[in-house]
Amino acid sequence: MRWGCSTKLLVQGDDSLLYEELVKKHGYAGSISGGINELGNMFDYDGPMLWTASLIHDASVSADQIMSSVDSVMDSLQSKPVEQKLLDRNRTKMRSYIYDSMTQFAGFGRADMLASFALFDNDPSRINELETQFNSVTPDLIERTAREYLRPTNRTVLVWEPGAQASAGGGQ
Amino acid sequence: MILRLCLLACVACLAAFGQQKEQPPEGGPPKPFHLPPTEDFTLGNGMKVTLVQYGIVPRVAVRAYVTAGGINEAANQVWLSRLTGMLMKEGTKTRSAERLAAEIADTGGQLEIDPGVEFTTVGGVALSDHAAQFINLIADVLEHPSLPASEVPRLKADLARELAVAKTQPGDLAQERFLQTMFPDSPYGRIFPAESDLKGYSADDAVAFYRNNFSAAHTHLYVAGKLDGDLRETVQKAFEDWSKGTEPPAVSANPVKAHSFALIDRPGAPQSTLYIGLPVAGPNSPDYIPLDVMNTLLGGSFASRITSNIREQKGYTYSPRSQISTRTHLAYWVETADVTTSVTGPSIKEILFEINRLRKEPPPETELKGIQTYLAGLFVLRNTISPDAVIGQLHFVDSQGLSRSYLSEYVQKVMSVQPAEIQAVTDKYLLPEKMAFVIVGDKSKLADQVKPYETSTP
Repeated sequence: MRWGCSTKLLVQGDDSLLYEELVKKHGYAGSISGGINELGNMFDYDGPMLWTASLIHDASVSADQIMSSVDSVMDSLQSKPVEQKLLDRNRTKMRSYIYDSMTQFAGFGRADMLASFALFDNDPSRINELETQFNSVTPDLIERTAREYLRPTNRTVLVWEPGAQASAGGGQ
Repeated sequence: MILRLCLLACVACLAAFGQQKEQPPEGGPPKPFHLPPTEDFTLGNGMKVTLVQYGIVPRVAVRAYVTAGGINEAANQVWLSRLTGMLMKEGTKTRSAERLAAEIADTGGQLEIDPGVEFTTVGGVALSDHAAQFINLIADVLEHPSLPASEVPRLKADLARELAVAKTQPGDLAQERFLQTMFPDSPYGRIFPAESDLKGYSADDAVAFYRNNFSAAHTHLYVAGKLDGDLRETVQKAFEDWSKGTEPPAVSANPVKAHSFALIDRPGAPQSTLYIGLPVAGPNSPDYIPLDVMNTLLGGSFASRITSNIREQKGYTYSPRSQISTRTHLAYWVETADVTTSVTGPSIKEILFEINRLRKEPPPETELKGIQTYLAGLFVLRNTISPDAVIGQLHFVDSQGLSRSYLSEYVQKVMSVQPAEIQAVTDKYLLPEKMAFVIVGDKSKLADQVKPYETSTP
């Protein structure tokens, strides 16, 4: 739940923090996309999931420049609680997202959620609890989650550079 | 998610090709599609509005279709509609871009502005309890965008980056050449700008484009979903003061139906990208639904003939696909595939073989029945739950000048197409000697393979 909230806050929507920083403020990219468990959604996998964000930038900007902007966003999340106003907005986004997930693929989305909760929790009725669970996420929990997981030592940065020779380590 | 569905489809195929399995029970006849009642009205300024109570979740889709897009660009203005659309997201006379983004997010929606060839759509999907506010925000964006010059350099840099990436993609290059061939000297045939033109676009150009093309008379607003409260009044109030503007000009295009051949060199390419096709009857023709069914059987579905042939049997390609693409009152059919370089010639040969086979022989009834059931079922599934999908369908019939009953009669019309009609429309429209062939690949390895298609062969 806290991850769902962090994702909406960070990378999904024109109001998200990374969009503001990387697209609007610095113009590094025209868009940024990302989320958790991009092969499915945040409900239909049980186990460690990958959180990813990606963008395409000009050759004139270095990956280090971009990562330092990313770090400034992550630092702010880790060092102080998010404003209540942001969190409220995020709850609205989450509620919309839940309903959107249910209608994906001609209604298959709802069946997929029911099946996932039946399989992982033996409780398909969890679908009715999602909104309440999202609402229980606090600014403090977001801050702790960011500190625990959004650490530079936890992440992998892939840089794909057209025409470049593969480095000895096979990437950065 | 798309990848996952593909995997599911593949698992299903593997099961099918494995040991003899028990046959599933016969499916029932396809259910008809019921279009729910719509509330249609026109504001005093000429803006058309359609409201539809629809779907099962508390969300509302709002889409304004504005007659503004590629067709309104001069030859040296390609993507000016896109720059204008991007600028429209950068705030209004009374809301900064940040405030706009925040207020949109507060409705559970996203502001999506999508400039296409004939229409720019402006809207998104928000929560039902915030639908009125969402409509007000969309109205503000449409009527009072600030179009700030300060953002133009950044947005042009974004477009230049996107152009540079697209020009490295064989699919984009093939599509560009294919459309140029079919629609020479027409906005329908221009999908990429010259880099030098793009560099020259100014905020004034975008403002002029907005002024000439965004107005009430150019717009049809659709609102669909679980609608609470009096949204008719909301729409009325939000849009009644918008200027009427001029009537949109009538669009016309006369696509070229003649043999042509283009080989675009991509040295070292392990695959060749194929675009093979020609104009066919548009949605207003009685032949259109038989063409739609024929396309699904020939190459437009996973179970189709061309896909079975060059993917399943021969392994030349992973995801070949044919489609009928529509514009106002016209359509074209095209088969696209990325095939292994060494079997480029054989792939084209097999595609033409399947076309010619269907021109000569009607398909067996069982094969046709499976395709019809698939197409009819898919139509009902796709359009029954998503308010956005039903808006797409309504706009399709409205913009093509078709009756709304087209949608409720679609399933029955699809199901009643006869094998002989499939053969007849294939024979009438899919003439290999009139097709455009576009191939993007390694010329040094392709020249001999594709030689037979350089000239028209009846």
